[in-house]
Amino acid sequence: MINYKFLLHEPENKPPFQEWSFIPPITEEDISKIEDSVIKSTSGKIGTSIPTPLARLFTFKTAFSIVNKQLNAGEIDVEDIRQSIYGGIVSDCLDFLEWIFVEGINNFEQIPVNLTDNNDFGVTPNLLALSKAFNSTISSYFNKGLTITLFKHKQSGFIVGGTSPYSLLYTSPNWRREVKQAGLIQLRGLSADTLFDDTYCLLHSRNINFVSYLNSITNPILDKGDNSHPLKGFAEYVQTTIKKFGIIPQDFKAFDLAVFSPSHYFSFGFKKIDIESGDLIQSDFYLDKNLQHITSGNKPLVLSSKMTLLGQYVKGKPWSKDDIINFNQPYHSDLNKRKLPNSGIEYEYPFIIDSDLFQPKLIEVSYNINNNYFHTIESLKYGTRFLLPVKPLFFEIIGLDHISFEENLKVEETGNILKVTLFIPIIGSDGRYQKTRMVEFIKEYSIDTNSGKSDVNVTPFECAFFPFFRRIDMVNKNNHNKIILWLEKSNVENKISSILFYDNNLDIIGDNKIFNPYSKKSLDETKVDLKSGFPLTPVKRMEYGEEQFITNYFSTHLDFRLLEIKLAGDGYGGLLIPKFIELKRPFNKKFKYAIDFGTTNTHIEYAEMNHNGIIENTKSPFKVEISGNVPQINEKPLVVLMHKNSETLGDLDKVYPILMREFMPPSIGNDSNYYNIKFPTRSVMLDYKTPKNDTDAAFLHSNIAFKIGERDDFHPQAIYTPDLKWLLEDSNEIDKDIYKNRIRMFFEQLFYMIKYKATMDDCDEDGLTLCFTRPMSMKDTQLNTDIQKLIKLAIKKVFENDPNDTSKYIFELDESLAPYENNRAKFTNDSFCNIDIGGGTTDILFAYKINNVDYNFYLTSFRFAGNVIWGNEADPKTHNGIIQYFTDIASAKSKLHEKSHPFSEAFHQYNQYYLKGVSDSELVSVLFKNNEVLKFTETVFTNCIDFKLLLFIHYSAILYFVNFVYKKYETKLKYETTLSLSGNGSLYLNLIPVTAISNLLLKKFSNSTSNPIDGVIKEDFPKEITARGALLMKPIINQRSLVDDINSLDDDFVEVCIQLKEHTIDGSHVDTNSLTPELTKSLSSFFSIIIDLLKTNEKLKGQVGNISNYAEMFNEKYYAASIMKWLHVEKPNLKNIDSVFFKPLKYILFDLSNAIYEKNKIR
Amino acid sequence: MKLYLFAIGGSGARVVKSFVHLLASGSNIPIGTEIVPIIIDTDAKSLETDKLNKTIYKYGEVQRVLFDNNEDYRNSCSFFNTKILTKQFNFESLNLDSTFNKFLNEYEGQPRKLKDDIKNLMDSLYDTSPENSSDTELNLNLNVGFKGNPNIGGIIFNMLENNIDFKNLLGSINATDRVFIISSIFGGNGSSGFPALMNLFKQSELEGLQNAKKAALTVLPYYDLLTDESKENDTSINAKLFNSKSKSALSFYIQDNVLNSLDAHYYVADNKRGQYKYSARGENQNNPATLSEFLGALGILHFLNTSQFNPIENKFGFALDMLGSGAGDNIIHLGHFKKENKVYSHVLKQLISFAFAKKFFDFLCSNENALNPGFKDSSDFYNRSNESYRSVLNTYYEDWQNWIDELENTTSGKRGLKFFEFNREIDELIHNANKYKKLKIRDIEGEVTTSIRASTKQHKPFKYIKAINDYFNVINSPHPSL
Repeated sequence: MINYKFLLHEPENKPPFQEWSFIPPITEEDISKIEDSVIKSTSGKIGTSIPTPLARLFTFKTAFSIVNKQLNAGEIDVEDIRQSIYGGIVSDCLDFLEWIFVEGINNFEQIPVNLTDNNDFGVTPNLLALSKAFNSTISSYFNKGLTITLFKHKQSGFIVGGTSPYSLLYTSPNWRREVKQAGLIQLRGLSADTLFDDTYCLLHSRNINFVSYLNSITNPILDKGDNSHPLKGFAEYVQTTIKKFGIIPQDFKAFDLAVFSPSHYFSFGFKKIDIESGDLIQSDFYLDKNLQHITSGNKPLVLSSKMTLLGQYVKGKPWSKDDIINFNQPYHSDLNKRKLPNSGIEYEYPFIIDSDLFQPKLIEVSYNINNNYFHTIESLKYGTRFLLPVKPLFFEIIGLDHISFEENLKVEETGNILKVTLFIPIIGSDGRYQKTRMVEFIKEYSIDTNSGKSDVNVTPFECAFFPFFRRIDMVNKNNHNKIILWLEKSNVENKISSILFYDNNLDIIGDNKIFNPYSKKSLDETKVDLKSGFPLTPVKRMEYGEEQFITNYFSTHLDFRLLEIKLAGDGYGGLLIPKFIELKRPFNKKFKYAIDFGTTNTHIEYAEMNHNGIIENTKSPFKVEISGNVPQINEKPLVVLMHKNSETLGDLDKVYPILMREFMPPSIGNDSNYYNIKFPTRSVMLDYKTPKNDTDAAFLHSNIAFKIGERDDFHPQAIYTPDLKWLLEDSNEIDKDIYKNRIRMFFEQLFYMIKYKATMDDCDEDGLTLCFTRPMSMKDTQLNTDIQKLIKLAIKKVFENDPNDTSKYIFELDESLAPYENNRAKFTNDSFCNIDIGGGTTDILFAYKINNVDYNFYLTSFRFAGNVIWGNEADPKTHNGIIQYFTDIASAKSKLHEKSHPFSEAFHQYNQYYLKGVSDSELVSVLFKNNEVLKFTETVFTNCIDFKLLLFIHYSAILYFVNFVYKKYETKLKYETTLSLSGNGSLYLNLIPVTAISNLLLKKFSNSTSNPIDGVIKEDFPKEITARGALLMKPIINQRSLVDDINSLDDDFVEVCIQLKEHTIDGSHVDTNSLTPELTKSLSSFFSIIIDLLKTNEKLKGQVGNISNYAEMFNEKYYAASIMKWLHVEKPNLKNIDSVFFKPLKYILFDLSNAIYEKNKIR
Repeated sequence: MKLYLFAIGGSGARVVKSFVHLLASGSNIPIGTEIVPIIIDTDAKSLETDKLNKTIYKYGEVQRVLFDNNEDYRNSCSFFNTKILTKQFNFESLNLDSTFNKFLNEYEGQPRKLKDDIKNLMDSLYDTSPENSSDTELNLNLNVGFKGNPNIGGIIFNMLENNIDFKNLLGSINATDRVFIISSIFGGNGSSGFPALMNLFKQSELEGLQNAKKAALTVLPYYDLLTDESKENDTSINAKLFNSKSKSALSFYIQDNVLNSLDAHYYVADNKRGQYKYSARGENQNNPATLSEFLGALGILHFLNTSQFNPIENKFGFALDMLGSGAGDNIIHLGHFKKENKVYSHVLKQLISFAFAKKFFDFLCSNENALNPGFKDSSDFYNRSNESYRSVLNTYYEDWQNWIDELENTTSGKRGLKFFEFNREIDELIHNANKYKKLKIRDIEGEVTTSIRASTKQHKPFKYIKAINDYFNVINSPHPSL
């Protein structure tokens, strides 16, 4: 068997793989083993394959590396290597070096060319392209720029080549030709070999003095083991040659011939001055603090410009107050590499000066920084708008936990000068100065913005932190994911270039990577924290057209204490030091949270449990408050913003709604404050990037759309995903993964809120119990399994523990039972029935007491709820008649008002959504939210009473089903029941006389003469009671008999539906006349009763509209057509055929809403 | 999801051509994927580009006639069911009809000279031989491409950044889309275009582009060019230097963080290379399809079918067992691919079905009188009204057959890929496999007739291909190693 690897090199893993399979990254070693054709080259030119104008430098580098490896491997004859194309390049380079070695550099004119990563060779597109080609190479390979010194041969005027960091020198591809042109034949080196001729010569054949010279240059590089040294390949070749050919290099210093000093041309040097320990001089200006980790053990001196303190600078040499420290001197950034000022010799020793402590300018934000939550400096003129103009070293010296802003930092303001003084403790070695003294460092900043000499730069940005507490009892508990939202204007001059996070020891978090919101190198720099899965680099979220705001999210599981914000350009910055709320409490309380995950809305209730797990007080609803004053122990902000709550954000005001919408609101509660949101909140996700895998994290790309429908003047690329609960039901495989991630993130965010809220309430994860309900219609479905799995994943991520501990995380509570649990005290009858109408599902609980303790319970649910009335699921391309009717009237009405009129403003907002094609259920949600201003329900139902027919029919259908159940289980259930109504979808019942209608209808449906119900309980907050009930519910209800198979009125027709569906999906149409009347029986019977009722009851007609106006819609043929429409549009799952009653009804009601609109619209 | 397929230079176009032929057969890709090939070649007269465009056009014609814009038809048929939206990009708008030197020192006819130090630097980095010299770099006329000089191409490609068509194209990429770049490493266009494109992507602020998953296929040497001995020193086209050039480029690539940021990077090469005559002008360069291109196309499919990417394990290679020995080693057949592998189940199985369908279609076209009268009468296959359908399909099949024949061809010394034997009976269609006993033309005829009859209401051209498609997808395609 022969293995064919379709590669040039031999990968390490084991072929045959027969598929595209992982291979290890190709290494230089692999490349060296690829066979070269040994062809003779006389041009010294390889026709490089390297796509950069500096290709020639890389070719020379490769040549040395390859020839070295070939020599080392010994598999190719040395003579063949010499003659190879790369042998030729090595030979050319050595010829050039040897020539200079012999003759010196005086024969050449030296032309330095400075290249940076921002070259500008000219403004034409062509020259821009050239600049760009150089720039990208420089930025990728030579981050500090590159100076190439070209050598022009004075005699001939030709350029021979230039310096290269990879091979000391490279030759021009033209030089060989030009040697001949210039008549420079037989250029000689140290031996008889002719330079630059067609006979190549490798190093081992060259003069021993030349080899020794190269040895003296290259040996230290390898000795130091510096693998990243650019000359490494070159050095290895020299050393391999020496070793392989047994050359004994001589002491190079014996020769005076070498006049080419590489260190003169290259930034990397080969010399180092070593300071022996004990050399240093005793001084009276040692820092009174051990900073060993930055100063290699030497205690740094502290030297302030013109400081007046007495003492000896070095032993026997008193400090001069003369200006020996030049403030502007660019001292080495590494304290250890600094050469002591005025030391007379180049004496390296660490010392701290002004520029290590002060930022050169002030950074001003466009609002007052909330000094309750952040350390800041205060100016009479500006307030608290400045970041601290101090460098992190200052806090490292003083210690973050020991800093006293009174003692160590002073701010004075005189006129337009803000003077900042820092005090650094020093200690002397002389007996007179062995007590701690303070060196004062003073920096004056001009705040005169009119003079043009201001030291103030305005950089509008805002930060939000979540969570804002630290647990000081258990530092490891602070290893939560701190999430920081960053919002700024990106089209201003003083953009922020990077943000550094420092931990308690003032070490930069994140492997010294800079967090740069503008970085294009996101992939290079992305470090994923394996513990949290969060990227440590920011995710750029969006830009708002001309407004040019961007938001970024940072996340770190590390406990940072301080942020350094750096500006682009000069790179200076300022510090932001949060005063995190410190928690040190027993954390021994127990809480239970119930989450009602609804189709449209989600609600959370919570309660404290005693140590036996019994709930004593229900706390309702989930509420976290912020007051904005000095942090108190009982204050519970979820999110802390940099600015003071009640004040303007200045330049950022315009984008404030986005800040609020994108980030979790600071406070959760019922107060009518813009910073608040309250539960129930919409079950809608807001995405800026499609979440593709389960490592995507909530906040970074995806948030709960807390502020959906409010003040959205921008048109971002946001995607709102509603209907999370049922998303997975019919989606294809690709969408399914994305949807799964959205749902998981939705729960993640809820759990983060719960987790941190509980922590602040003195409860840690161990004391926390979560419970969830699900509707009957989900029971035993794949959807339920999927959602539970996602909840568990989110729990695992947020709580980082085992989500399978069901004693703490309860998933399987029956939603239908929850209202009963909550209302138990109100049910005094033996029989009761709760109808919970949600957005997508209606759940019904039937109960009848059979003895003192036991009940017969029947639970059921079906997909016929609020959205059928308000939505346009039946035909997403068309609007519901209600929406059309309202929009027409409101549009006309808005024209009568000024633009600034509240009605016009609210309508404009709504209309934006309408025009965007947002679904009707979302539109209705906006309308209900603004009902007071827009008068939605009044406009529709008062102006056109016929729209109430929709509400009436909807409710009647549910009662028709209720009656069906009572009839079917007449031996187990009894009428004379108490009816309770819950669920957000039941709110529409406020628009019709529900109590009267209920008895009227049930009497008709049951042919009874007495009233079937004895009372109706309606909830003011119907959504909340499900969550509240769940909270009270016990996880196992073993004494109750549960029946859950009564969710269809038409079990007998399932087979017929399957057959019909097959026809429908096949694309062929079935004649509706051929439908068996049995199939439409439920619909016919239902409508005949209610039509009859409406015809005969004038009062009712006046209350709910006149159905006779739409008589053509209520006949067998229409019912049959609606059944066909359902089967055709929804393509229901064969295994789960829904009710032939409820499903077509959705289409009938949708058509009816449009018929009402057509009949009543403004003409 | 869209796949933006950047095909740079001749090798890029050739791999895409294989890819299109695999798509025609219904290779598995995520549902709803649309392909957007972007063909980039500085040589506007490149024959490879021309051939690819024709293939894509023929593919589109088949879709147009068969499916009549009916998405349901398209979705229900595995053959030809992927949408290909072509976008050719050429360099004409960059006005490259001058030498590289003029490009640097003139703009719109006006001198814009480089600063002296930069000019000196360029003179030290580029060969300044006269325009007629094969060595020249600085005086190279750009209208013939880069002639194996990526150090020139790498600059020219930066011009794309300001090209409005190109900008629009990049702007249309969404975060959920994918990007795949195909380029060779040893030529001019590909080796300069690939890093330059990656740099443009990196610097772009387009969020969609930034976040779209990206992969590349780097085509290492897989063919040789025959050159005159006298031109051995012409390093731009000397095939003997292909390996050396690849080495230097690979060495550059492995340090380049931008290239290393790819979600997947595929490499393909072949040490058994065909030797073709070199033609200076792309319009005359006509090499047959090769195994490497076929494997490259499989790489694109692998990328499309991969949902999770590992930032560490993101380099990919391909290898095969070669059974037997001697001359046969150079022929790859279906037996070299294991049935349990995805390459078989996702690609080759469909290719086999397609070959059967093609064979049957040919049979129908050429055996009108030999057919069972029942079939003939019940179908209107031979009606004049269906001529255009037959013709469009036939035109595509011819192209496909040429590709299959070229892959099989070993005369130039290249490795052959022999899957089918179209000159044999339908039950012996698969090369090197046992006879497939269940397949008889009469049975097929009967089955297909029934299928056609059952779908009388369907769009006519569609029903034939659907019936054939369904028939051959239903049978368990024989695996040749069995």
